[in-house]
Amino acid sequence: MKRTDIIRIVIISSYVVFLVASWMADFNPGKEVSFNFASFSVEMLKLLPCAFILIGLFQVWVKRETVEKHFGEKSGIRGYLWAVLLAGTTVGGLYVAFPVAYSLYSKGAKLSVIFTYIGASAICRIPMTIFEASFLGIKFTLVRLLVSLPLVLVTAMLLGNYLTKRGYKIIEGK
Amino acid sequence: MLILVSVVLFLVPDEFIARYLGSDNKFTGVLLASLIGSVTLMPGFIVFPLCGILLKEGVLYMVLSAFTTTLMMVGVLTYPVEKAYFGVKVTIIRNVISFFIALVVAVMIGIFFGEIF
Repeated sequence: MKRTDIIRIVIISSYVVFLVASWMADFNPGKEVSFNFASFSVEMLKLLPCAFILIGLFQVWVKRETVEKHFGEKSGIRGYLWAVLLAGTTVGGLYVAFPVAYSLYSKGAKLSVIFTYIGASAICRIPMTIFEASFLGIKFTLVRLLVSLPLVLVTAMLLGNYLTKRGYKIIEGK
Repeated sequence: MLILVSVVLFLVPDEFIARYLGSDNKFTGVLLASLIGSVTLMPGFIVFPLCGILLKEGVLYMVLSAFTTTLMMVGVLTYPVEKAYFGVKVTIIRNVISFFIALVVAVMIGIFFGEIF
């Protein structure tokens, strides 16, 4: 067994022991931690299986040429537009966006489009934006979107081009 | 990652956020908000109601925007996931860039809502 594995096992088991002990001793902070753990796990369990099923279908059904045409090197401005629109319909958070971005990349999308997708899925998911506008006002949401979206696009292009020039390749598990 | 999230959510409860975001100095407020936003991870249906309450308590729009934007874009807690897909270097670059975008957004919000001048 590797050392990192041992450390991981120690951390996880001490965490579990802590939770069990705090339930038995009626230790409130421990209970609260376990509630947080449970609610967040449920949240992810609701989203991730669906996300991975959709990604799986995407991998099988969508042809490489289609992705290359719309998200690849020659897609131009439309590639970014598609990325933002696709990001708008994403649910969940970054943890859903990463696998989707990775599967797009493996089908031949270019790096700057990928970074646009990740950035945009963080800032302009449609359900979240509506929620935000209802609590903080439409003006707040509009200013935030109009400022952050161009910035995301510009930095994604710069980062993508820089990494492409350096010959960077995404390898899963690196 | 789940373990980290549950512990951090406990360490950074709502009252803590409310106390620190409401600080008098705008710029420390923005900075603190963006730091708290970076290290926490919350679902949107908790964050925005919380922000609505904070707004009524007099927290500035720019502070809230720094908080929500870093919350969504910068993921210290999702670092293990991101690293698995994109590698360490890109993960760090992307998160640093996102942090600065959030600061710029906060400043622009401040200008539009007349909170800076």
